[in-house]
Amino acid sequence: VTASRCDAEDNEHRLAGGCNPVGARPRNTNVVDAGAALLVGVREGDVEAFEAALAPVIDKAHRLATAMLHDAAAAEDAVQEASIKAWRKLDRLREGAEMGPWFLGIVANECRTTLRSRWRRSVGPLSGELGNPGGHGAMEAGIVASQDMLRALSSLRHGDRLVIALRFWLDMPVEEIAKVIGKSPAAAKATLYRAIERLRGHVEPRDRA
Amino acid sequence: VIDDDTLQRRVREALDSVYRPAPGLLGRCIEAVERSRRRSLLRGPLAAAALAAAAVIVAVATLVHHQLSQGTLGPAASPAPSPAGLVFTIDADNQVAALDATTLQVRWRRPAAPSPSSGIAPGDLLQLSPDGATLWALPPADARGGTALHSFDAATGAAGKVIALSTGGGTIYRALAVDSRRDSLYAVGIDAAHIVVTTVDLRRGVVLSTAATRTLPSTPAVGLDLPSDAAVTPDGTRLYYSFGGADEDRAGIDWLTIGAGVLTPCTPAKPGAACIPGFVNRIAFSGDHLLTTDSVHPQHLVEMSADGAVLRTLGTGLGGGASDGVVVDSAHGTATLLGGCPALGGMAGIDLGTGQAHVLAAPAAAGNTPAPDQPCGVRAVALRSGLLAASRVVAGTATAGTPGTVELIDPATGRVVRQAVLRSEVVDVVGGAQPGS
Repeated sequence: VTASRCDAEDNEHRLAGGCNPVGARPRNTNVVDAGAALLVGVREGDVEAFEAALAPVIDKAHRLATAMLHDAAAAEDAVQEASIKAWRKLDRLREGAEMGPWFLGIVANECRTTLRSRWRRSVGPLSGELGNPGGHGAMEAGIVASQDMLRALSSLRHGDRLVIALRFWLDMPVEEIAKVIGKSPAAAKATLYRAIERLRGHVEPRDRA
Repeated sequence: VIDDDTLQRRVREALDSVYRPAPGLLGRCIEAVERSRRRSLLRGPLAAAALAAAAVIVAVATLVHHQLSQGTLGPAASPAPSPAGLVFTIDADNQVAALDATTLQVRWRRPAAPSPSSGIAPGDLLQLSPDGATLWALPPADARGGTALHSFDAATGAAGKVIALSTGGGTIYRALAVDSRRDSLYAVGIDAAHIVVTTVDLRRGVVLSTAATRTLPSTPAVGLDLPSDAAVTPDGTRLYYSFGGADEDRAGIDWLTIGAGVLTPCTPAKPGAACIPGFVNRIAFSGDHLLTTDSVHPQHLVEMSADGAVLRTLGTGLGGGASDGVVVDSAHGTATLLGGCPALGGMAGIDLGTGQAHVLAAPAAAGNTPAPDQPCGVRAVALRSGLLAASRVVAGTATAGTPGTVELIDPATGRVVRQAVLRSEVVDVVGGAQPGS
C-alpha cells in the first residue's frame, strides 16, 4: 500500500488496518492481502466479507441518504434497502472495482425510488419534513436559513442534489464523484458545476428578497 | 453572488440540521441482508421443493408400506449435518464461527461471551468433542484467559451448555485438550499460586475434578506463568501442557499421567523447574515422541522421548520465534512449521524420517513482514482436505475490531490458496476433521 493510497483514505484499505494515520499499527503488505481477499469474499457472496466491506462506507451512505431525503428515519430505511440490493447485485461488482462508490451509487438510486414513491403518495418530495413544524428536521432545530437551503436543495433535480451532497457534504473529490454517478471525471465536473449554478439560482432570489 | 465556500457552508449547516447519527445501522443492514438471503433461499426452490416433497412422501409411504409388510422396518436413522468440512475459529471479540473448509465462507457465527477487556494472545481456546459434533470454546475475559466453557453444535452453531470451570479463587484457564478415549476435556489454567487442571466430562457436561499440578514460585514472574498449549497423547496415557512467560527458569512442559480419575504430575529433575524445562511452544506427537519448537534463532524442531529426553534437534530454516507450532502428518511422516506474521513468517516441511528440512516459503528479510502471498500465521491446523488453515495475526496480541485473515495453505508447496477476512483477528483455529488437540 503506498502512502498516497492511504492519504486518499481508501476505504477498503483503511478497513484492513493499513491506513492508520496515527501509526498504531504499522503499514505492511498484509493490507493489500486483506483488501483483495475481502473483495473476493464479497463477490463470492460471503456475508461476513460483505459486512466488513460495508463497514467503512455505511456512515457516508447514511449521510448521503439524509442529504437526499432530509429525513433521518427514511435515510436509514434507504440504506438498509440499498444494502439488500447491493447484496443481490454482487455479481455486478466488477473485479478491481471499489465497494465504496459502487454502494453509494446504489444508495442514491434507492433515495430516488423513495422520493418517487413519496411523490406518488402525493406528499411531494421532502415537503412533509419542511412543512411540518412538529416534525423532525430543520423546523425542529429552528434554523430558518437551513430551512431555506433545504427547500432550495429539494427543488433541485435528483442528479444535481446528488453531486451537491457528494461534494459539499461528503467532501468527495471529483474523481470519486465520477465513480458514484458513473461518469468520467470531466463529465462529473461539468455536472457539479451546473448543479452548483442551479442551487445558487434557487438561493439568491430568496437572499435578495 | 454567493461564492462557493459560502454556499458549501450553508449546505452543510442545512444538512447538519436534519442529520441524526444512526448507531447500529450496519448491524441492521446485515440483518436485513441475512433475512433477504434466507427468504430467497426458500422462495426460489419452494415450488420445486413442494413437488419434490410430494414425491418423497409418496416414495416413503410406499417404502414404509413395503417394509411393514416385510417386517423389516427398524428405528429410523436421521443423519446429522456433518461438521467435518468446517473450520472453526474464535476471534479477539469472542465470536465463534464456522467456515467452509474449502471456500472459507462463514457458515455460522455466534457470540461466545462479551468482548474481552483487552487484546488477547492467540492460544489453545477451541476444541472439538471426540465425535466432532460439539465445539467447545474458552472465551477469554481478559488477556490472561477465560473461566467458562461454552458449547456449540458444530454443524448449526446452536448454543449449548455453559460450564463454569472456575468456582472462585481467581483461577483463569488458557489451554484445552480433549481426551477422546475418555470423552473428557482438560482445561489448564493458573490461580494465584498454582497451575491447575480441571477435568470435564463431555458427555454429561460436568466438571469432574480440579487439581493443582504445580506450585508456582512466589517471586514475581517475568511475564505470566500462563499455560500456552495442552495436548493428550494419541494413546490417552498422558496430558502435556506448556507454560510460562519470558522467564526460562519457570517455563517449560509438564505432563500428567492419566489414571482412573486421577492425574499424577511428573516429577521435575530440579525442584521448582518444569519437567521439560525451557520449551513454551505448541506440543505435537509423532508416534510415542513429543515434538515442539525452541525459541532460538534460527529455530529448531525438537523431538523428545515421552519423558523429555531430547532425541533430535532439527534445523527448520525459519527465524527465531517464528513458529509457535508444529503440524504433524503421521501418514506421510512429515511435520510442517509455519512462521508467525509478527515475525518473519515462512514455512518449512520436515521429513521426520530423515530429519531433512525443506523451506517451502522463505522467511521475509530481517526488518520486514511476510509478503501477502507468503504464508505466515498462528494456530495452524491440518484439514481433511490436506490443506492447513491458519490465522494471520499481525501483532503478538489480537485486537477486537481489527479485521483478521484466515488462510488455507498447501503444505506441499507453501502456497496460500485462499484467504478470508473476518471481523476481528482470530486467536484459535480447529478443523472439523481434527478432534483432540
